[in-house]
Amino acid sequence: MRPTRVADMDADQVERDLAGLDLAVTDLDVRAPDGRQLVGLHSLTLAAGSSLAIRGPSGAGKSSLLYALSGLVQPRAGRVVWGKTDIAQLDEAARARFRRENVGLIFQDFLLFEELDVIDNASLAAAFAPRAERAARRRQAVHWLDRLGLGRAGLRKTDSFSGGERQRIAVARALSGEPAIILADEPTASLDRASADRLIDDLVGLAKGAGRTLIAVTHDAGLAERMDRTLTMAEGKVVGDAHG
Amino acid sequence: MQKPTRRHLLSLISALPVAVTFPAQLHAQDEPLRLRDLYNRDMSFSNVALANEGARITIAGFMAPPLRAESHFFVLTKMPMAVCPFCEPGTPWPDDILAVYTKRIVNVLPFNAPMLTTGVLELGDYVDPELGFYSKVRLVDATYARG
Amino acid sequence: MDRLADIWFGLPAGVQDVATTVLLLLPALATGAIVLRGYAPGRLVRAMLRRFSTANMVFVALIAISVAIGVGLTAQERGLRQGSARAAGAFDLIIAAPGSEITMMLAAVYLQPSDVPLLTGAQYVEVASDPDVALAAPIAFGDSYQGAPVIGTTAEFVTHLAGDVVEGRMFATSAEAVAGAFAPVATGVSFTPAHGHGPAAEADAHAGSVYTVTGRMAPTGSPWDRAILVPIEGVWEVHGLANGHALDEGDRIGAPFDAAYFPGTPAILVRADALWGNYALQSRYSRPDMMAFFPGAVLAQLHGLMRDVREAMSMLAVVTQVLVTVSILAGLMILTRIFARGLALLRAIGATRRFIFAVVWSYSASLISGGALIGLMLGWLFAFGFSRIVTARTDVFVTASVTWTEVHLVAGFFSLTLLLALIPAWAATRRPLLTDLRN
Repeated sequence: MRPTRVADMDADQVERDLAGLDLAVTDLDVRAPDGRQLVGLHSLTLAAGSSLAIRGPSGAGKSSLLYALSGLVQPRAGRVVWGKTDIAQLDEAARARFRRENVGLIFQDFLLFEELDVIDNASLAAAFAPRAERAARRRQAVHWLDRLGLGRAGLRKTDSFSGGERQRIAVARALSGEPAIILADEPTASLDRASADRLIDDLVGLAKGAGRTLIAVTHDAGLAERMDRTLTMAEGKVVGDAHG
Repeated sequence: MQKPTRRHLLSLISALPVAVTFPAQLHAQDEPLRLRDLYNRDMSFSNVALANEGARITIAGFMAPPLRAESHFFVLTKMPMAVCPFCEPGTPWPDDILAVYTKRIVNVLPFNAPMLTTGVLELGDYVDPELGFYSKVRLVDATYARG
Repeated sequence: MDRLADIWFGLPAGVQDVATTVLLLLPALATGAIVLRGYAPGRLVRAMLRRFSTANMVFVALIAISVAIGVGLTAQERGLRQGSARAAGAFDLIIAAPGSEITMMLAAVYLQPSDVPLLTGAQYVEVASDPDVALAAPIAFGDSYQGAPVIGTTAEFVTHLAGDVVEGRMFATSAEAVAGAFAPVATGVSFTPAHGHGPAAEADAHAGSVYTVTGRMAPTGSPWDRAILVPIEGVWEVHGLANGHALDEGDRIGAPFDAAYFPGTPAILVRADALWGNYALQSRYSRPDMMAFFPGAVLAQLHGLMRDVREAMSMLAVVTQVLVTVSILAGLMILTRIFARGLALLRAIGATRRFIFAVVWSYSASLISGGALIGLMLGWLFAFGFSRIVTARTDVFVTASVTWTEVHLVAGFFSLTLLLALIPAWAATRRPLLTDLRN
């Protein structure tokens, strides 16, 4: 069952999100500032609502690919088309807006603001979202905290939470904008096994249940095996592509 | 506003609004009036004075040494006050001085520095309740500058 | 333009002050409105303030102290000028033997003792009988009692200075005295004056001479509040001189005095009723054998000097404030690096550079606003405390208050530094996003 949509979005937006965003990457070339190639990818397509794990040794270009897919790095060449939007063609402000509206990001070490309470952390994007969306963002943040078992945690100080709880707050933050896409960079690497397993259940369950696209860079076999497809990278190239 | 604060280095920052308005101080008439323009020969008020009663006008002159420090009052004189211009005892009201009541506390200028004073012209007898001085003509709500 | 100027000059001073304040604040308010438009960074800014609360408090304290110095200095200097002017308010024109106007002003108005030559009886009578003179009061200083100056004068002067005696009655004989509001003698007490002042005073020079205090004056906010006023005849008699009146006049005190029996006075306070009369008298009695001057004019000159000194100091205070702020903004740029990861996260989840700019600027603006407001209050406290000290030491009643001048100063500082705060805000947006995010 799909969760409640952000209330104030207009009809177009809801329609497009409901349809999800197919991914089509072609001739992607991502370089380090010194000109070294980080990612060289001829073609990658992913249907809306499916999930993809990216694996490979350190320095294989996994994170660079993930950041290129989110528009955090600008490729030297190539197309990164989400739905009908080639984010490689957008300027920085437009890419930021694209992320705010369509992407939920999750990081290895959570990146919470210790001085903010749990709800403020989970609804962080409300601070820069259009005024009309702020209340909905906070409402959704509370909703997702509740779904992630942190419904009574709103009054606790953020620094009193365990790693697993923190990452669940970060997941609530990623979901607060009801994004079509969730991008996660080693989401379980800082967690113990039990916390990691619970997070994998939450992440995969919440993504699939709502038809969101989920892409995760991970070393965690437990996470990778729950995904529809696994891409293996080495030295910037795709060296393996396994479905199922 | 300018007077006491205008010179303050402090208000360098606050010179903003002042700078905009001050150059236009001599707006009411093209040329500043002189003290004697206010009177006819028989010491009655001139047509110029009567026409400008209640209006904001600019008069040229000099600042007499002040009787009080930190007051809102000074005497505008026709000539620098090095020599007394009105030393005849018993004169009811000399025609070469003017009482000036300033908008802000007077920042004293040297008695021999030519200056322009802009204020609202008041005619008629008045006794200052605080200083006890009688005057026949006054500029009130006045601002001034060297000029 | 002319119309605008007309309107401006026609405004009451208070309205001009408020308008100036608004104009001074406008750059800051406009910057704030533009920078923050569409955003709600309040929670994040509060989080940043809490994150380094100690460093932030030090920053606020530094800004506050530098602002307080500027505010205190201006308020205090104005308080001193107003206090000294108020103390001199009753002294329209002083006539004395030729010498230093400043020395004479300090002696006659502020009762700072000094040896000065005397005016003769003939000179006094000439001045006193001038038709333009409404009041001519001798002021004879030189004696003291328990540190309080004992001044010989006339009953008219006492009334001129402080109004009617508020306790007891005016002196009526040459052996009676009226005490200043805070003089160290009670009504009804008798005392023997010492010759001279301070440590050099000769306590028993006037042994056998006694004044009885019959009344007390209202406070005047001047050093006269600590003085004891006696008929000038008493001063002369204590010194074994003639008492200003022919022998057949008996014990009468006060004007008129007889030139032949007038031993001399260091100074005469003169007042004319006509405005121009004071100028006429000043001109008439500025001559080789005596000098006539307006204490107000001398004081205004001193104030001019004081103002120049204060302006130089104020300039330094402003420079200090700006330097302190610049150092603090440099400090903020370093702190911003510590926040860099959080700021990078915000950009990663969809915040634009403009939002990062707004957050960092608001953070600086909070520190500056807090410092400026606390500084305004501290400056007032500083001036208030210093005024009490000055009043206690000099008996010149000094009140320092924070006025529009200080508000303008702080408002200008506020706007200027909020504009300067755009620099670290801009710097924060130029940081490398991925490096900060992975750091």
